[in-house]
Amino acid sequence: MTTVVDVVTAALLLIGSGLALIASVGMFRMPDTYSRIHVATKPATLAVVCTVSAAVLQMPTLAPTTKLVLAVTLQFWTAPVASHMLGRAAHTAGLRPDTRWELDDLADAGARSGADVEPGVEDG
Amino acid sequence: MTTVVWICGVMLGLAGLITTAHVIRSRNLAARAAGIDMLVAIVLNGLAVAVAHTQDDLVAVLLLIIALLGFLGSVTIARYIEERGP
Repeated sequence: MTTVVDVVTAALLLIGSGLALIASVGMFRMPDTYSRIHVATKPATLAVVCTVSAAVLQMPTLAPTTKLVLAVTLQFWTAPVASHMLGRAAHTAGLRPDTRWELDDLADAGARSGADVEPGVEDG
Repeated sequence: MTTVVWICGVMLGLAGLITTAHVIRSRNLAARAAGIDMLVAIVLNGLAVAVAHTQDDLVAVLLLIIALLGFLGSVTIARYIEERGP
């Protein structure tokens, strides 16, 4: 039984760390800020869930499990809020998405409501 | 188990190095903020690996605190970007 738990823990730890590594490579290769924000949200939820459930499997008593589950719940609530705020702030500040992406819903919303849409800022 | 923890540590360290290189290289504040968000997530992953390895209750508290602080930091940077430009 202990060996089964250990094997599952090891698999979860490796999956979580591998996801973080893949996401950091994606962060380096993505063309503009918005796709980078999209990449940054993945390890913040999925990888953290994997590694934290591995930790819970290794230490299944009440007090640490409560803390770890609370941390994961907090992460699930706050990670989308933070990245949404970042994306909206970048759009308000005048940063435009890469021209390869065809959808820009915030610009459409601004055009419909009559706000002036300034020309795009070159993004690195 | 120790081998797995070492492999995870190397992977997470590499991820941290790549993300730091991106933060240094990127040319606007929003991309940097995304990179720093990602660094916080990597630190959370490392702390969870440490909890699984050492089974220390104190590190679980640290994980909770850093999850909260990362959110506050991201939201603060977003407010500043909205006021002052990217």
